[in-house]
Amino acid sequence: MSHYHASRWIGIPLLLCFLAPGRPAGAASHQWRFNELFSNADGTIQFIEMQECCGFTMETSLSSKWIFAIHANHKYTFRSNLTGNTANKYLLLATQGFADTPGAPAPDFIIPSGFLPLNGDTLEYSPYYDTATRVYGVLPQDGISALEVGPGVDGISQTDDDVYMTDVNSPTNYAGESGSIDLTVPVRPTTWGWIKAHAMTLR
Amino acid sequence: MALCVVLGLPAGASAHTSLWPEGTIVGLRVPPALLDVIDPGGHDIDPAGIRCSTCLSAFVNDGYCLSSRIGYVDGRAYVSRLSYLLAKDGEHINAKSIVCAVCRAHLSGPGWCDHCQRGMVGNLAIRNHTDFNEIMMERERLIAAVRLASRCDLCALACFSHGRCSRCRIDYRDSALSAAGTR
Repeated sequence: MSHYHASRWIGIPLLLCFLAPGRPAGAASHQWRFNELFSNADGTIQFIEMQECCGFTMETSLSSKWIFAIHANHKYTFRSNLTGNTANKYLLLATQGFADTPGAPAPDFIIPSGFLPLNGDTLEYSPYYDTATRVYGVLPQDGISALEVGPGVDGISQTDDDVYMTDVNSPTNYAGESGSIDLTVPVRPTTWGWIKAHAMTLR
Repeated sequence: MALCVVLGLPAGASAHTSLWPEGTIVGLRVPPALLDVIDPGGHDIDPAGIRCSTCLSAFVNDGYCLSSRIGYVDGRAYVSRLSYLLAKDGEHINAKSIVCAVCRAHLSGPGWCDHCQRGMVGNLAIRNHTDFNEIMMERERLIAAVRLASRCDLCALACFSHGRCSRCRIDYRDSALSAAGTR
């Protein structure tokens, strides 16, 4: 080893690398997979549910990682890390419109309206984790069905055992709160005008 | 843990923009993002969370699940083949203790010693010849990836992980390795 290298490389073991500020020991984020996709017809109410596929307990280091809809060129970058045991946990990314919808569990991250292209795309999760890349087609837009796109038991997306089916939406967030939204039932706005008008009809 | 000694931290790491410092592995200096993909440290795992039967078997037997692309050593999980092989086979060698001239030469460049029946890569000794050869193949891929890193970091990552660069829209499956290496 040259004198230059000897002075530059101090040979601190990997253990110390893991103790670097901002990244807890052993924390990573390789094992999150796309699991469920939902959109209404105009894209204002959407969610992306992800799940830790394989029992990894410290997939918390999300900050600066991203999800990317390749063809639409829509990118969302995570701004914070997670805490706690991540094994088989869910992550819920959703629009503000979804967050405001009755029955919706609180999203862990807010994504812009229309993030998910309605007619299909290829979703990447921090592009170098190609095991998470997921192609999907036209999203159901009936207000209640979601597209299930989980990776199957192997935990690798785009393989033969992938799930690909529509089902009633069942978003779950990181805290484990689950719910379902039904946009087929019109929600009456509870404004003062509506309350007054409603009160008049009751008289 | 043998793998820990392969990695070093540059003295100026505090000024680096990434949380993940540049390091060296199998004698190669690699950028932070590549180190993240190689994932040399392994992960704690909850066996109850493993859904793949092959993974469960691998978890018990220190094996590698080809379907899930996860290897298990001493209860820890490794998400790249290279890190799995190094964790399984790598044995830290004190350079001063090496008396064999061939092995000593392999401290500066990896190679197999027929007399000692071990390969040397970086400061690790590998006893299993088949695994050593595979580590060398992974190292070749890593060399190609590091070369690409100066042009496009995502290409470098895609090259090592047999994936696709979404920025340059280049697919780095096995057939692309030679092309990537000569670019």
